[in-house]
Parts: sequence; C-alpha cells; structure tokens
Amino acid sequence: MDHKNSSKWKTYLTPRNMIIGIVYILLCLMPLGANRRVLNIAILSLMYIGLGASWNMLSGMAGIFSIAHAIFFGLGAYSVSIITSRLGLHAVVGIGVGLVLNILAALLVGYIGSKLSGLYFTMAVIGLSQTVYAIALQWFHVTGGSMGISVPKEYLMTKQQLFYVALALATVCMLFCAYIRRSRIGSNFVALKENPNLAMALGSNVYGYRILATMFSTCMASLCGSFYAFYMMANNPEVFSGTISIKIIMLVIVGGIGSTWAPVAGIFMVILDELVRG
Amino acid sequence: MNLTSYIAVVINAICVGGVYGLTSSAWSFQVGSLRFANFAYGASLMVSMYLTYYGLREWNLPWAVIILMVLAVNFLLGLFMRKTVLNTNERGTQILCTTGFSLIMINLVTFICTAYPRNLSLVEKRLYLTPEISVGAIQLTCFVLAAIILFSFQLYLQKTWTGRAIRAVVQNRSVATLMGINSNVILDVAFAISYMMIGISGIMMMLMFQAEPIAGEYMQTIAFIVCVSAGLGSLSGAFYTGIIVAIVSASINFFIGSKFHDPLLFAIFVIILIVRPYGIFNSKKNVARTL
Repeated sequence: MDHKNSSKWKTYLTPRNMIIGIVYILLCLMPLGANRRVLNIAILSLMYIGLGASWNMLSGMAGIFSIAHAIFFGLGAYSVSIITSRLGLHAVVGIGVGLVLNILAALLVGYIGSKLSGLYFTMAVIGLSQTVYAIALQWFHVTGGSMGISVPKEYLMTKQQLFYVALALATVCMLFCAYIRRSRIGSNFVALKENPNLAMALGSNVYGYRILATMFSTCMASLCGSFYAFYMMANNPEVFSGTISIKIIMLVIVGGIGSTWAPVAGIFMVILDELVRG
Repeated sequence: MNLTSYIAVVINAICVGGVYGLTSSAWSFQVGSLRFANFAYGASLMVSMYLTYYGLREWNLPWAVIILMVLAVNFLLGLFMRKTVLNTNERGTQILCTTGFSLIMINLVTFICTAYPRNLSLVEKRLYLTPEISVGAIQLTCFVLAAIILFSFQLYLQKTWTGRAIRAVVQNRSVATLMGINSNVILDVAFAISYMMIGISGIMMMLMFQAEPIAGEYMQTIAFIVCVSAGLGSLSGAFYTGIIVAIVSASINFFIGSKFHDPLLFAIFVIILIVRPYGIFNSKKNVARTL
C-alpha cells in the first residue's frame, strides 16, 4: 500500500510539474516584494489567463469561432456594477446575475451556432455584442451611458487581495479547462471540432455539446468580468470593445490554439502590451 | 407622424437601401461564394470613401479620374489581400488576419487624415413627386446605378467565360481544376472584382453620408444583417434584403426614435436567424450548412 502510494506520487513528480510548482509558489509570494505597477500588470495578466482559458475552450476545443468574446466579459462586469450600486444588493448576487445573463446569452448564440455553420455563430455574436453595447451606451438611467457606472467603495480591495483573487480565478479556470480536456466532454468537444459529421454518426450529440461548450466558456468569461468590475471599480461601455476580444484571441493563438497551456504560453503578449503602454 | 411623411421616409429608405444592397452583395459574394471571410470589408469601404473625398475636394480631380482611381486602388487592394492575408482556407485564420488588417487600415487613416468627419457638402437637389413627398436626386441616381451594376454583375457571372469559370470554381474547386481552370487565378480575379464593387459603393456612400475612420464598421454590421437575412451567397436576395433592412431601420427611427435603433435592429436580426436560419430568400437546400 505504502509502496503503491509512493509510486503514484513519483508519476506526478516529473521535472515539468516541479517547475510549474516552483513558478506557482513564486507567484504566490510575489505581492510581498513587488511594487504597485508590477502588481497591476500581474493582476491583468492573470485575468487574461482566465479569459484566454475561456476562449480556448470555445474556439480551441469546440471549434466555434467567437470574435466578440468581450460581450460575455462585459455582461459579468456590468451586472456586478449595476446590482451593487443601483440595487444595493450584495456582490455575490451580482456575480450570480452575471452568470445567469451569460447562460441566457450562451443559449441564444449557441442555439444559432449549433444549427448553422461557424460563420453564422460569429455573426450572431457580433450582432449580440452590438446590441449589448448600444444598450449599455443608451440606457442612461441604469447603465450610466458613456460615463459608466462605479462599484460602491465598500468593495474596494487592496492590490494584494486583488492579486490573490486573480490568482485563484486563473487557477480555477485553467484547472477546469484541463479537467474538461481530459474528461469525456472534452473528447466530445474535440471530436465535433475535428469532424462533426463523423462525431454525429458515432452518436455524439453535436448540438448539445456545442451549447454546453458555449455555456462553460461564457460562465468563465463572466467570472473574469465580475473580477474586472472589482479591479477597476468603474466600468464604461469600453468593456464590450473589440480591443479586449482581440487581445484574448491574440494571446491564445500565439500560445497555440487548442492546447490547454495556450493562455499561459501566450500571456507575454498582454505583459508586453502593458509594458509598451508605460 | 402622418401617413404622407411616412411614405416619404419609406421612399427615401428604399433609395438608400439599394446602396446597402450593393455593398452587402459584394460581401455576400466574398463570404458566401468565394469562402473568404473578409472582415476588413468595412475598412476597405472607408478607404474608398476617403479617396473619393480627397480626389474631389483636395486634389480637384475630374469625376472620371476619381472613379478610375478608386476602382484601380480597390482592384490592387483586393489582389494584395488575396495574396497575403486571405491566402488560406482556414476560416479562423481568415477572420483574425482580416480583422487585424482592418485595424491597421483604420489606424493609418486616423493617423494620416485625422478622425475629423469629412463631408462633401453637395447641394442636394430634390425631386418633388407631390408637394410633400420628395426624393433626393443623388439617392435616386445611386439606387438606379446600384441596380444596374448588380444586374450587369449577374450577367457577367452567367454569360462570360470568366464568370462561368468563377461559378465552376465556387461549386467544386478540384473538379474545376481538372477541367483546365486555374482556380487560384480565378479566385484572385473574382476577389478583385468584388473589391471593385466595394469601391463603387464607397463612392456612392461618400455622396450620401460623411466619412470617418470608423464609418465602415457600421456598414459592415449592416452587411452582416443583410447577408445573413438574405442567405449567404445570394446576390439578388442581398439587394432586396438591403432595401428591407433600410425600410425597417427608417421605420424604427420614425416611430420609436434613433436611441434604441441598433438594439431593435439586431434583435430583429437574431429573430430572423432563429426562425429562418437559411435566409429569407434562400431555399433550404443550398444553404452554407457545413457543420
């Protein structure tokens, strides 16, 4: 028994896993020695790792190309801001409302994307993002228009706290992505990306799995958006902008689309972007 | 809010809708038939609008030279894009590369010409059908020209050798190659020709609206709506649907106001996608339904 346990441990103690563990521990210790600017970049990068994992699940694994992924992100951010500041409810309610909204959006676009080819899904997402953007810009009483909306100051967190929340978020997203990739659901996702007709002939529920992939992905993006609301403390309709979508897509494609570690490998693009901004 | 003014609104919307139809059918041809997901389409439209403005107002060129210049620039731009960013069959790469290309174009134009909106400020001549109902002369001309151009493009696709070769390559690339058609060259030519259609519609748009660096983005989303509602790849359907979309858009503006114009339009678009996924003017059998 003892021997069996130790051998099981040995399979996990590969050099790669050890390097990952050391880097992770260093990341955990990072807030102790870093200044504000480095922490800001680290928080944003960790958030983009979560977003990249979410996009990677939808487009890399399931093969549905979403070009305006920022709407799911923005829906999470806006629901937290609106629930906490306009209705005065607790932030957890806001996060929950964001998740529900995102599941609804995922059902809508996933239904379209499951019935037609991927290009239609792309266009449905673009249409939805334009709609949501216009509502955020025009419905002044609720969303604050182009001036945006701020989160109440009770929710203000220090950079160290934000860093650990972001680290937890990125870890959860990456672990979820890795778990799904190894499970039966992930195999089905990849099957319907590589050859949907064959997957359908072998009895895989292509439509259901497409909607499921969209739902998983949008929920992860929504959590990242809710975090972004607490990080920025004030959101304007720019959270729906194409810049964020392009950044997400860029970092995953540079890291290697479809592989589980793609967001981590491509994160240097976001770091570079923040450093260039100065 | 009376019937006469609504009729005037609808008639003017029909004239604008013809131009919407022309622009969208170019995109529909690129995406539906040639299978190049070109998301730099709005930026290209914007570039031809700026070229028209600069040719007319800054360089004082005659009209014929302007039209030739816009056509030539668009032909070369189409060839360039086909050779560089669209030289692949994978759709994700195409979407991403063309989006990046459009970002480069928009930022270059913002850098060179500044974001200040440009207007030709032409004196508008109006033709009075009755004392209340009038049509802009420019808009009517554009509508007629758009219809003629689309009709001649259909004729070109049906009658000439090149047009038949294009349709053959669209239907089945490998068999067309077996029949002695150089399908790569044919795709280049077809893409460049569709870019010339974008150039013509850019001139028309410049006559009606004002040019800004992001003017193309809105037209691109309109083109999405029009093409998907019509069914991808259907050119005449795109023309009719362009008119319908313009009428719906004008009616929303007339009855509800322009504040919630975009959400309502896109909501209608999503409803169309759910109810009739293969398009209004497409039969179920020739839908681009690759899973």
